[in-house]
Amino acid sequence: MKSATGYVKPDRTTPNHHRRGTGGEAKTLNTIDSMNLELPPDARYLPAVLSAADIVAGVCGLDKEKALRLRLAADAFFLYLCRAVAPGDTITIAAGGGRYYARLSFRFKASQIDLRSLNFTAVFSPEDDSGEMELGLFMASRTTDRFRLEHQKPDMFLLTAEVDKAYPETAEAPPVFSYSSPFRAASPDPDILTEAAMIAASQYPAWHCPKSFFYPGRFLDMLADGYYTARAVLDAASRPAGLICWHPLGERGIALSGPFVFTGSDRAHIARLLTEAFLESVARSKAICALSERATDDLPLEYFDLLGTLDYFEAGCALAKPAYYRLLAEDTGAAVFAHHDMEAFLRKEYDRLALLRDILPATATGEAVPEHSVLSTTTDQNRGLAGLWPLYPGRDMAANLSEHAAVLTKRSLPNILVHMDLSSSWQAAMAPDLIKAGFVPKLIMPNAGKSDILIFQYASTC
Amino acid sequence: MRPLAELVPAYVLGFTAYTPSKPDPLLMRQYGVTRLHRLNNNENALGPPESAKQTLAAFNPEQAAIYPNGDSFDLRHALAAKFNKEPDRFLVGNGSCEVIASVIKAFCDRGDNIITADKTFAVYEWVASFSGFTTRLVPLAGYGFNPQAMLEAIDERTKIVFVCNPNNPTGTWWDNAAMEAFLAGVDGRCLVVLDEAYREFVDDPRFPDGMELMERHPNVIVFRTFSKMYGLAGLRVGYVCASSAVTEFIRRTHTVYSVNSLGQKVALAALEDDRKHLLATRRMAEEAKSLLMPAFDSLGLEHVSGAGNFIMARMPVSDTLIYRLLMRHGIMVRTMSSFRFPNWIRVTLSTRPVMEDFVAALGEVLAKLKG
Repeated sequence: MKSATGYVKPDRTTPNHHRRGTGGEAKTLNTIDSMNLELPPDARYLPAVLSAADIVAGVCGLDKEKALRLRLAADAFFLYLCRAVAPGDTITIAAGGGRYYARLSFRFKASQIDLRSLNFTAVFSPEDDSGEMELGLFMASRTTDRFRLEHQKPDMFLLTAEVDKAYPETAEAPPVFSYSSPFRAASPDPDILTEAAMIAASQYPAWHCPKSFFYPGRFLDMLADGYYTARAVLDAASRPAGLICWHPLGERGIALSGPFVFTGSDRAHIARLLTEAFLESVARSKAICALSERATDDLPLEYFDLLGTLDYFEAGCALAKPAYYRLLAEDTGAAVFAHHDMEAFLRKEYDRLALLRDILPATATGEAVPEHSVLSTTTDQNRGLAGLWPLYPGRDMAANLSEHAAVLTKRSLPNILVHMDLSSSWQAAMAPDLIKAGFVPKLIMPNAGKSDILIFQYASTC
Repeated sequence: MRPLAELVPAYVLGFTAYTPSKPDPLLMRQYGVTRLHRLNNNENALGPPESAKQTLAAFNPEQAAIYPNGDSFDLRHALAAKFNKEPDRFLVGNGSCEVIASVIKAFCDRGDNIITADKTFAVYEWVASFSGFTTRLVPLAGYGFNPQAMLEAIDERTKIVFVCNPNNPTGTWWDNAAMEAFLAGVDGRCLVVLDEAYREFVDDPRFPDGMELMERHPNVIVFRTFSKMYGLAGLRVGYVCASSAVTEFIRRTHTVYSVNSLGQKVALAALEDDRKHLLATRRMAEEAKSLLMPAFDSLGLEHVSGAGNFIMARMPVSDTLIYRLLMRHGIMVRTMSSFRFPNWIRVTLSTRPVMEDFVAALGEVLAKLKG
């Protein structure tokens, strides 16, 4: 047996570095110190992994139930990997997180993995002969709030699981102010920004509001972690009359929420103040593109370009909801992959948007494809919204997508979006499977992932 | 090996490198155009003065094998003669960006800050950021630097105030009275850099001359460049001038041998015969402005211009979209989002045919967007 090479050391190497989370939410990586463990794939080291999960749950402030969820995920993933990783290799575990979540990640080497039990649609039956390991993964996928699988280089994988802190939903109605001009853009205290988020949640349809607007404590923690940045417009008495907030998206994108305007008059002026405050704030940042997938009607359109529309299904009605973007710097061009079925759509859209893209063919060329695909799923019941992110290719992709659409629709989540990263040839090659499963391409989100993201929407019949 | 990120200071980790535009032939291929008018960098469309052109043409290729003079000896002496100062008060750099870094490195320590405007040339802020120093950004008042707010921002850890005079990209400038009042307010508490990259475009007796001011205010440092009026942007030659005592400290952090032989010789030649060139360039800029301003008015576009060979205009759509659409017409402008002027573009004032091409292309682009 290889001797244990466990070491624990603080890791402050990536403060405030944002990455795309499973399900498309960018996450603040390790805003608390993380600890690293390097262990052999041997179940006897499980107590060390569970200890790391317990410690990080405590540091991140998870309650008892959430801490148990993290522990269950740690248990399931490590035991699964003990089987999947060859003896002699190691599993590197990083435990960290931020004020509002805890994270465990497992870096390992494996020739092939079968993680289909992580699919949202997976069903475990006691009679199933796939065994205890799959039950563990099945449980882990349901106890974590997000997970992600990255195929980093040949045979190297990074599996990440996150569990969010529990927060009480807002109980009291936000204050109603009588505003007086002049209005000015400002960067007030987080408490004021959180109050503004609560006002926004009470005045705007849920479609426009981030989930955290309904949980003031969570929004505060996300601001403190640097996941969200926000600006407000204050009136003459420094009361919040408007809010705009944003978070990193992908490698160099920004996702924008708002502008939210709380006054009856001066709406256009306040929206413009908010938008300019946002643009000036990110002008010299690393971001090159701002996206507004669920813009409010107050968005001043002269600052943004129309990407396209998404169909929003609510109470049996379909409403066309526009999505906007703007580049923050001069476009230097890029290369993206596209399946033949998507090429005409992409060329037309890139031409309309005047974006320079070299389109490379993404077509299966006889290479071995794993049997089972894995998709990551996030849900937002307030908006009846589900997001799917392809994690791992598989020959069953079309069936897996169909199954996801059926299960999510049944759960009153008719707005189902698949996010295809066009920097990935295997994801681009999924196009025929998506079409077969009833999805249609809707819009391109430039620079929203490693490259551009092509959004497919399920053609719901609601 | 240790993870690379552990070896990198946090202020470098958090900084994003600037991405310059791609070479012209590549851009022309990408945008499907056969010619490209560069109106994005405030280059001089007339090129360098005649004397500089001749020196360029006469450059002996064998000299390329020989190191340049390490501290631009001849050029510093020529500058000293021109401005009636000692040669040791000048330092020449590879463009003024290099001298910005030299000054910040010479005077700033951990915990120090610099002050400048929020909407001005970005390099002061960038160099301070990736060197680990704080930049205090003071909002412009209207389109000009706000002297009172800048004075209020100074504290005991402020080492340098950068005043871009005339300001890039608004073209505003402080006159003699405003500058004197500001320097009196600073009262020697910190250094004041006057970046006069566009000063040769101003022909107004009210414009303060930094070279003269530093004789009465020893905390004044002046930056000038051969990249704009002198049309030598491709050779990258800029310089700093200050009191002997101040220059002596900057010299300690200034890279020697960074200005190549060709750049030194041609810059020197440019100084020798600049009168005609200055007048011709100013005339070109004025003519271009008198063509563009009514064109912007007729298109219903707000515009701002002052001193310098550039003008800003506010677009009815995002500046980055206008950039891409104009590139399809072979016109390259500078988007102003990165200067914190969202939806504005900055256009270099150039020769009449080029300005006419620009106006025609902009009109077509806006009409198409409207239609």
